[in-house]
Amino acid sequence: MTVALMFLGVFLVPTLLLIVGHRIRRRAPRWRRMFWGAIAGYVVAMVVGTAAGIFPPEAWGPADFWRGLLGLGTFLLAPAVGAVIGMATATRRSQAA
Amino acid sequence: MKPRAGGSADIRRGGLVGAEATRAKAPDARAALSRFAFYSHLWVGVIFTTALVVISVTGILLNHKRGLGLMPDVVSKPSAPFAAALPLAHLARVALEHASTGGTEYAERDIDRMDVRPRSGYVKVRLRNAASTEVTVDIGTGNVLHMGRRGDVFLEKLHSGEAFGGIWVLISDAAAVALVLVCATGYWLWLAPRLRRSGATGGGA
Repeated sequence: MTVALMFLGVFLVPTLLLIVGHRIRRRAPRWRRMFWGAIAGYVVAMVVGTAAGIFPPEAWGPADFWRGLLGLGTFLLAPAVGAVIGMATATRRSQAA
Repeated sequence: MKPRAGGSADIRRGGLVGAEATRAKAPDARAALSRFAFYSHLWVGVIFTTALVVISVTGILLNHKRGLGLMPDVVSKPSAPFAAALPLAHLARVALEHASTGGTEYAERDIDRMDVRPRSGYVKVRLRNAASTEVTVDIGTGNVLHMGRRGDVFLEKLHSGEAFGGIWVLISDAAAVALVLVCATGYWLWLAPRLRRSGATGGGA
């Protein structure tokens, strides 16, 4: 499970972002905002995930929930959250315009 | 920046024949190489970004492990000649007794390794616990010089991918190959337009 999550977060998500980013300038503004939101989310995930990864092992809790969430979950969650934020801001802007 | 396949396009149009077409094969191959360099640089770079970030960060931390306090730096001089050193079993017992004062009982099976330093006159007894606790014992007197955690042990495992299991060691290798490939293709992408320009003008870049 952990290995599968790591593979998804570390390799699949950037590959998907690269595929989605193909000819991004021809896509709708909302799609572009979602893409850049996901990119920003993934960059945040890289920082948070790496920081959680190098945290000393003796400091981990017995359930290891936060470390698992920060080290593995952020690589999947942060791009999704970023994309949602990107989509939301695009909607607000288009309504304002 | 997308490489243009100028040479191949000319041949396909039927504009070049015989010796001219042969001469055009070089730019054609160069264009194909540039295309390969561009896409491999892009895909390999993106796919291995996270792995390379982790390897780079842990590598920098390992380079400065003494300065960052990840590894205890015990300064000591030999208290007795190496020939008069206490037996390893005795030194291990001293280290285990000292480590057990913290509350957790340690036995011989908890010893990961013993690193003897004859020039410094001590032995480092590393335990197999989460903190990789290390007890430094004088090999001449049996006095405990230092006890602390080895933060660099886990970082080394993270750096090599060992922390996540066998397959991640191979991924760490793949990331290293990817880094070399990205560097090589990056050089080519920088060099190729200059070569094309120098070929067109017939002079230097």
